[in-house]
Amino acid sequence: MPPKDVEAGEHKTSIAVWDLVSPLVIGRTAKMKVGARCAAGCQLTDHAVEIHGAAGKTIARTGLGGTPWPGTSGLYWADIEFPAPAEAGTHTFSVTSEHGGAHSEFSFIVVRPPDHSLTIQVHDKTTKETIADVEVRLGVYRSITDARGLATVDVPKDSYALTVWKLGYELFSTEINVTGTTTIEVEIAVEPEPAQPYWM
Amino acid sequence: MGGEVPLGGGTSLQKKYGVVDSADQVYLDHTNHKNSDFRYCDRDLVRMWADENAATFEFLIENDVKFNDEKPEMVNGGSVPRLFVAKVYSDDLAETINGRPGSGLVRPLEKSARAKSVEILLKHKMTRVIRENPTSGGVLGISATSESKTVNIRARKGVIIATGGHTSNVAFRRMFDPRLTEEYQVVAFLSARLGTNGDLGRDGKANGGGPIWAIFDFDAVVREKWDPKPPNVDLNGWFFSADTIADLAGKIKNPYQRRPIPAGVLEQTVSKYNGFVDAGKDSEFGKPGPMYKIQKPSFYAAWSTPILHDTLTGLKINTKCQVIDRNNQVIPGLYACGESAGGFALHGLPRVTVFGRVAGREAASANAS
Repeated sequence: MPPKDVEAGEHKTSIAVWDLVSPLVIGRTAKMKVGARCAAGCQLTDHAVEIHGAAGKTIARTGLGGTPWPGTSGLYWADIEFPAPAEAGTHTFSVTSEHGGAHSEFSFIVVRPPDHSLTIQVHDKTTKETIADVEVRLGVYRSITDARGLATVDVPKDSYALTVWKLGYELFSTEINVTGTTTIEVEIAVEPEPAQPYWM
Repeated sequence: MGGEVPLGGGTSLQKKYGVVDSADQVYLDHTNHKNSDFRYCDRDLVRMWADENAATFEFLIENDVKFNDEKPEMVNGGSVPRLFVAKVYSDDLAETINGRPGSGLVRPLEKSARAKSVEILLKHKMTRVIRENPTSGGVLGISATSESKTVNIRARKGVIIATGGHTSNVAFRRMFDPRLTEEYQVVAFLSARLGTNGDLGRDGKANGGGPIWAIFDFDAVVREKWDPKPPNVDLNGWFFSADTIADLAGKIKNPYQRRPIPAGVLEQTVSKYNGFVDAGKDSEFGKPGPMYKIQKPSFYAAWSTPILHDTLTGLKINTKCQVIDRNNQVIPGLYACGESAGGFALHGLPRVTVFGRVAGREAASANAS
């Protein structure tokens, strides 16, 4: 219930959407979190939020939970699932909240189901040691290497632009043709110190 | 100040580390066309500066400036190592404000000057240079204000303008670049440079490039190991947080934010950026490999507007640091140095130390008026 002395127009509500793992895969269920916050400070427990597809059709609905998202002042939230679209490409869906009439859009990419797993192992070019926390991108797929320097992405058979980067290292990029499940080794070089330090 | 003093030409410390250098080499390095800043320098000033490099370095040592006894580094496109760093003057905070190496340059020079009976007037603001006639004749002295009183100080030999660059003068800097409105603050003086200074735009507010805000989310805070709480952030108009992007837009209130950020616009901007992350390509600005969405609450906005650094222009001077008027004539008794003087677009201490020493020497050798 809204606090007393709140005018109807002050229930302006806004929405956040997060933890949607991109890209989505055709035929699979997508999961994410959705939250809503009322400017008047209303408790939004059990208030409905809906996901609408491109044509405005409601494809998922849930009630908000009982406690605000940690660290927020009043963002009531819930996990929500919806079926990924049947067509590959970029899609824009919307989220609405019955409280305050809030509306927000979010976009995502949908891809074909994967055929293979590609594991990338990243080493330091000089020391040959594996490197953790390296950002790996393969087209629209992205991952981070674990403590063993490994990152795995599941992808359809295709050609991809592979980029590998970590702060302090030079960007590594190459084209790669994925035809089967495999592991590839990548070496990245420490970025050299600037020859001319900035001074003041 | 960082206390980094790249002076060369064959200084004693260069020789100690086997560095072969000369005034001619300093001149060649600082007239190299590859450095675009040097293309527009007054070659006579560069030549004088090069000739005075080594002597100025020794002058600093003679006045008790101490340098870290470490091999010099290459700097500023030079062909030989010239960069030495002054030792921090003192670790005692009662003596040194922040312990930066710049104190190792300024404090010994101050101590040496006081030992030579130089009187330093604090809380005095120079407001006018007094000439024999309003726009002609030699310089007689200056007017200054101190605690609401005006004092006139007669110059025995001359007046040296060493008041620093003009980046803080919004009206003046906008003569050179009208985009440099007041929201572009000055390095090291962030909190001191907030006042509106004249009619600079619509409603007296900024009309230049406008404030720039860094927008990020909770994931970024975790990823970068930030602690977005005071005193790390300034909640008095320079840092905001909110549960949603739309709410964040509404919270951004700052003297230089001339109009509120529309919630829908910020949502669209963040959504577009998140789309670049999904696609792996920033089709708007070409940011390489955008990896992280801005999506997880809480959301933050941090003042991220560029600041102005140093001034590479100033009063026209000759090789004696005498100020030249609009008719290309010397103004007798008036000298300028450091960032107050133009003609040599070089950043930092090598410019200010050499020209300061030369200005002082030339003024001291002038006939008393």
